Amino acid sequence: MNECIPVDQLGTMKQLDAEDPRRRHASSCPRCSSLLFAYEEFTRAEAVEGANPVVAEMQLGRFIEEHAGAAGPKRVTGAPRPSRGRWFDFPILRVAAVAATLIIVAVAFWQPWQSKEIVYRGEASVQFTGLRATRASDGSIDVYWDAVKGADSYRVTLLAQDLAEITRLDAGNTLSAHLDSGTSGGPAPYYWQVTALADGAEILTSDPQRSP
Amino acid sequence: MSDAASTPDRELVERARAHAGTPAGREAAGELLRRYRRAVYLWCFRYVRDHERALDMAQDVMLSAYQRMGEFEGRAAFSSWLFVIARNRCFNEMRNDARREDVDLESVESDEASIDDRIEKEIQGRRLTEAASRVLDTTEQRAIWLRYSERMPVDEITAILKLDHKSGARAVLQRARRKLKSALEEA
Repeated sequence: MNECIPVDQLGTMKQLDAEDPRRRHASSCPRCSSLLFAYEEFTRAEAVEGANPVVAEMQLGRFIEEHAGAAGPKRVTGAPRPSRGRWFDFPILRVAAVAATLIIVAVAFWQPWQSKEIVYRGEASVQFTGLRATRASDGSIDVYWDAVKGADSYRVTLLAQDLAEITRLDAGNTLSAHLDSGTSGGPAPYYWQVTALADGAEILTSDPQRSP
Repeated sequence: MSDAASTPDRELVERARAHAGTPAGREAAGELLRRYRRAVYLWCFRYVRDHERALDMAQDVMLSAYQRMGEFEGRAAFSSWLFVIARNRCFNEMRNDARREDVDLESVESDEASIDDRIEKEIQGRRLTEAASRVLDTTEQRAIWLRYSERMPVDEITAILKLDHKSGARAVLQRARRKLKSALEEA
């Protein structure tokens, strides 16, 4: 069976020359020809009696948009924000703001009373890392994540199967949260996600993670 | 990226990998998944015959594919890579399903039970493959592989093979089992 075609190579069979040994094998071997038939049925996606592909496409489209939409998974960064007010229209305030920013940056980098080595907990990144969850025998779930640079607190959100929000949990500045079976008070959470906050503003939200 | 809908899979895969985590990468990955959402849902539905359950499984497949997009090297077609994920998800569902359909197994006569076990164990083996290619016609081969390798429910095999006679795939499977039994005993 060494010459049998790996399943993930089935899609390239039709591109091969008719005399190619792999294609000839695929058409003569019962296992490969049946598998190829199954794969072609998969891609053909013909309606199946009792199925509701129109509704499914709509729901899955929404699901995909939540996860892989161009704007990212419920990322607040880049989302429309409330009006900044009119103070920015005054040149003198603009100059003052720039000066204040420069002073803050200078102070942040010039700290002779501290060690020269700056250690960050976790990696600076644009995505959450270290996301994991474990379920205890009593049904409670512990979720973990790595630190996000600039975040001063975190919030865990529990989501239902259709990604509707069930509840939110303030995790403070820790890198884990304990969710007991009564945390949600509603349907069992199907997904969870964590949001990093800085001064109360959301700076990064993870992709929804399937609950264990 | 308004041309995403007409872009070939291969190009979208490259974009999704090269720009992972950026809006362009997300859009490419999203377009790839959107293209196959119907196929994934319908494939899952064939196994469970339940809309909600199939939708749940399809979501798992989509999420898994999205999270593992970086592992996809692009040497195979994206559709066949996704098929692997969908297929595995269906296998797991069937494995965990206490209500797994075994009606055809219950109905086989006792002397066929042993050949049934044997096919299940040897479905990937050379000896059975050679016997199948020798004694079974194309429909019988497909029915046997869909049942024992793809673990597809019998009624779905009837539908996918477009068998319109009353007993559908059940009769084809029984005939194929008998032929395989004789072939393997003779060998």
